[in-house]
Amino acid sequence: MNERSILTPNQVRDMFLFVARRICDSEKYLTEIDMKIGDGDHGFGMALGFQSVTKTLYGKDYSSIEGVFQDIGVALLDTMGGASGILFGTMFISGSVGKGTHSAADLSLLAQIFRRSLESLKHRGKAQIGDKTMVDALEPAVIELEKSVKHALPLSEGLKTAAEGSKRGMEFTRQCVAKFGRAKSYGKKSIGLQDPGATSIWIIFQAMSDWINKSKDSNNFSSKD
Amino acid sequence: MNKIINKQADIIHEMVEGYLETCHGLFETTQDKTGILLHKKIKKVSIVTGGGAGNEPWVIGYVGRGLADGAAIGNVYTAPPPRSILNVMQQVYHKEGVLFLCTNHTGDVLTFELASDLAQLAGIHTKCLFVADDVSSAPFEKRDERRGVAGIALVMKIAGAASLAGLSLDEVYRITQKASKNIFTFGVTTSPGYLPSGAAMCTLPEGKIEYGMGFNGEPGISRTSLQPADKIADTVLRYLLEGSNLMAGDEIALMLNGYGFTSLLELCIVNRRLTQVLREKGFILYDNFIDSLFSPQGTGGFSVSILKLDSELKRYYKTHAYSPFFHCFEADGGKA
Repeated sequence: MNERSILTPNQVRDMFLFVARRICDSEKYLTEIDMKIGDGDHGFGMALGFQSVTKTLYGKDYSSIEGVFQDIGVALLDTMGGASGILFGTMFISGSVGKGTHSAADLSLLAQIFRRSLESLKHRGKAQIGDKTMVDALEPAVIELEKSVKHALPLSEGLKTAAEGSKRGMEFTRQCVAKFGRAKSYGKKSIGLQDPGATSIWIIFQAMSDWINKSKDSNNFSSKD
Repeated sequence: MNKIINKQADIIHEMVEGYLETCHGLFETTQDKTGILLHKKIKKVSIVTGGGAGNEPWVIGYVGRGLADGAAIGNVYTAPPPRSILNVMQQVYHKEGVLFLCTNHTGDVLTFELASDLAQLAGIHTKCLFVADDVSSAPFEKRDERRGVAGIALVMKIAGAASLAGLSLDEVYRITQKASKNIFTFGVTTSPGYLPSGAAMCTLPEGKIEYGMGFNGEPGISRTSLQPADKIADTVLRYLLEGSNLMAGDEIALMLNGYGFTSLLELCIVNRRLTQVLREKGFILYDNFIDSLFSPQGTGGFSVSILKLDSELKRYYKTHAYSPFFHCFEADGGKA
């Protein structure tokens, strides 16, 4: 099998166009989860943000990986609103600034970008593991990416285990008591409920993994390039 | 619940457009129609506010003469994106500095702090202040963590007046902060409000009421059967005073804020008892009014806000203010 381990900026663009479609398709699912613990606007906000991501990325030619991430971040920041808008915007912007630009992404670069995203999110949102936030799903995904880099796993395998990590993190939020946002008012009543932000992180990583594994299987990685 | 909207995605700019028509010449909007600001630019510190829609007249009605100079309006219960706030800030007079005055909620804090940082990068002097007045959401010792609710109406009044007096940003901030440390609010919910989609914001069976419920239907402190008005007023006051540092002899402004569904007939009955008990307890009522300034989507119930005043705060409290949705200060800005 012709296993790819490097993505061009336009392939990363296509991957996130796929992610954006998956998020928009998940609006109803996210709304249902958020109705139980928040005010039910998470699905609408995410869909709004990722519709704007689609409009921004579609047909645009990218020369750097960081350029794709920053366009996604600004699109989310400018349209979503709420804490989610700031935090999902931060995730894409802060991870991709300050370390120069790259014309190709391997697993190691993705791991570095998402590690910096995670640290910025923890700094800005002041959340730690177990606070029932998106950090609970992002941290295990980043750790899995880093492990895969260490074991020199292929990109497809690295994203697959990252998606599995974020899924475990998302499921873990059901055991946690909310410390932030409207969910905080629920106190112990929040146990058993899943965090909507962590759910969105899982959807993002799962879609990245699905895109790359679909691309790998059909060997049409660069068809849109 | 039957809600009267066109398309969910259009509600904010359609609300802004409709509001602008009612007060031609007083206001203008931003390009994307998520902002509202005074048409007349005054050389002074500007007050910019913002927040999610859904509790009208908060935020849209808080822009006016002697109130905020501009506001960014987010989708229902969602803080506006930083870009909307910066667009409003660019359009108000900002050379003397801008005070961002908002309610204390995670989304609003993250958003306004980021907007404030970006404004500083653009060379505009800004400060942020978040009103945290909801006694039910955290104990007095952790009062900075309290949610921001209806009390911002009175704090906005003070901030607007202080900025109109031509004070510096630091002074406007100091006085507004004093008001925000002196404001306490507690509410009771008697029936659920309904989102623009028609969905109920909480479940509250007929015949039940809940003290301290959040305005999005977040769980409150206690749920009881429906009680007589005097009993409800007494309970609300008890929670409010217990969660504050208010004492007999304090001079106060008392605002009774209807949530939208509860009628003025009922609110007057509640207000009768509130004033009676406060006087008995030795408070001096400098001002008292009934209005609906923070009303979550037709919820039943009300909140009571008490602002403790000193001679400095009184000076700004009684300054004239006007917004088409802010009836209480229209006449003489505080009756005292």
